[in-house]
Formats: sequence, structure tokens, C-alpha cells
Amino acid sequence: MLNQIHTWLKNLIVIILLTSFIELLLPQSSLEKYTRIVFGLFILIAILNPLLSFLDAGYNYNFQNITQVLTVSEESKQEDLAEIMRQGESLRESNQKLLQEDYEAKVARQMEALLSFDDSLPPLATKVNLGADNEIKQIVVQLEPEVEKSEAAKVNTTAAEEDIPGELKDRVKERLANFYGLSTNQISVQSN
Amino acid sequence: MEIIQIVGLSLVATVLILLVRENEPEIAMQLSLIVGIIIFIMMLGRIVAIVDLLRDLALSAEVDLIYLDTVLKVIGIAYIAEFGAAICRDAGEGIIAAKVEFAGKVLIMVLAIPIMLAVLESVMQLLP
Repeated sequence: MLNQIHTWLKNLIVIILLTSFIELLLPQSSLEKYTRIVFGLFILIAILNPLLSFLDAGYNYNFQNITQVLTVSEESKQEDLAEIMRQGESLRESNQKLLQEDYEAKVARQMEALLSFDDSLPPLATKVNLGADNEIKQIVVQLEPEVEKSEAAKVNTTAAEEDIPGELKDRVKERLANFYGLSTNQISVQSN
Repeated sequence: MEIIQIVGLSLVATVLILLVRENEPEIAMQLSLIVGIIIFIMMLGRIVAIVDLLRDLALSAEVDLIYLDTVLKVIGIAYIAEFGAAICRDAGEGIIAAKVEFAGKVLIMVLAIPIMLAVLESVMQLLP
């Protein structure tokens, strides 16, 4: 509380300094009256705004909207352009992401189809991670142990977990590596 | 010693204009216009320093820069309108000078509308 009053007072002093400085800049002409009015409003808003945002935390007057409606100046046009460019960029990025996800899913399905020719393999799920240039970075093959849906399911599961031999894993790895031209350490086979 | 350059330039220009005005008033008008523009351009670099200072002050006071921009634009409009009006008046066209000043007033008021609305909104917030 005391801290906020302290910063507000400090700001007030700077604003008064600022205004006395700008006052020197005012031209001496018939327009002086008008510039002075705008100037007074500026001081008022500079003093009022922090006070208000302190009293009412949710208060935030949207000044930008009105100025953009009123003044179609060069800089606002540039801002609009920058905004459009930014939006286009984010749209492109999200498209890219969607495409990449689609591609990952398709490659994973292809691998599953390839591995399903081998009847000795248990049912499996593959997951593909793509790198920055859309090349295959890593493949994770999840081997699902065959669970007999009986009352003794639990016992069977634990038995099956130990059942997946290293030889089987190596075969899966080798097959995928040969087909996609990868090195075997890019492929990891897990069982659960 | 830029001030000596400026005063020297304007003294020379004034004498020339006085000499020329009798026979060719339009040349005199152009001369004063050009001298005014030259002085303005000479001061432009210094104005940048002042505006930078104002910006820094406003930033440290946490004043929204949009407000300061409005104030600076108002000052700019006032100066330019005054410059144009003075030259028109010098050339004996009081009516056009008045119109230039009128345009300046309208533009200043338009720029002031957002600040005015903001002040109004703030005061309304303060009232219970």
C-alpha cells in the first residue's frame, strides 16, 4: 500500500517535470489555447489513470481502440500490416503442425501394417517422432503382450511381460531400420 | 554556436527580403519560406533529442506512450499550422491564413477526443 503510494508520488513528480518541459515547446500563436487544453487533459489522464487502476484493479481503459477508429495514420497502417503478417505466420505454423501430426500418424500406421505381416509378433502400437526437417527422428514400438481375456488375466500379463524376448525386439528393430533406412538405435522397442 | 548561424542567416534573409519586396513581392515570399524551412531543418536534430528525453520521462512515469504521442502530435500540428499561417499572412492572404489556423484547430481537437473520452471515463469511474 505504502509502496504503491510511493511509486505514484514518484510518477507524479516526473509527470510534472515532463509537463513543464513540454510547456516550453508550445508555440505562441492563436493555437496556444487549444494546445493548452489538450495538454491539461494529458496531465489529468496521466495522474488519474494510475490512481484508478490502483482503486479498481480491473480498470483498464482501452485507449488504443478509439485512436485507431479516429486516426487512420501511417503508423496504424503499418501496425495493421504487422498484425496481419503475424497472424499469417501463426496460421502457417499451426498448419505445419497439423501436417506433421498427420504425417506422423500415417507413418506409424504404415509401420504397424508392415509389422503385422509377421504372425509371431504380438499386437503392437508404434509412435513416430519427426525432426525439424520432417525426417524420422525416432520410432517407439510398443509391444502389447497378448492377454487372454480370462479370469487369470493378471497372472498371464505378468507372464507375458517376461515373454517378449530380446531376439523379437531385435527383429522388429532390424526390419524397421532396413525398410526406412534408419540406424537401429533410432528405434526403441518397449513392452508393457 | 548554431544560434549565430541561424541569426546570421535570418538577418541576411531579412535584408534581402526588404530589398526584393519592393519590386518582386512573390520572390520575397518564397525567400522567407525557404529560410523558415532551413531553420526548421537545422533544428530537427535537436528536436529528436528533446522528444527522446520526453519519451524516457514518460516511460519512467509509467504514462501510456499513446498519450504522449498525442501531445507531441498536437504540438507538431500547432507549429506547422502556425508556420503556414504566418507565411500566408505575410503574403497578404489573411483569409487563407485564418483557414489554415482553423484546420489546425480542428485537427488538434480531433486528436484530443480520445484523451477527452479517457478522462471522462476515468471521472465516471471515480464517481460512485
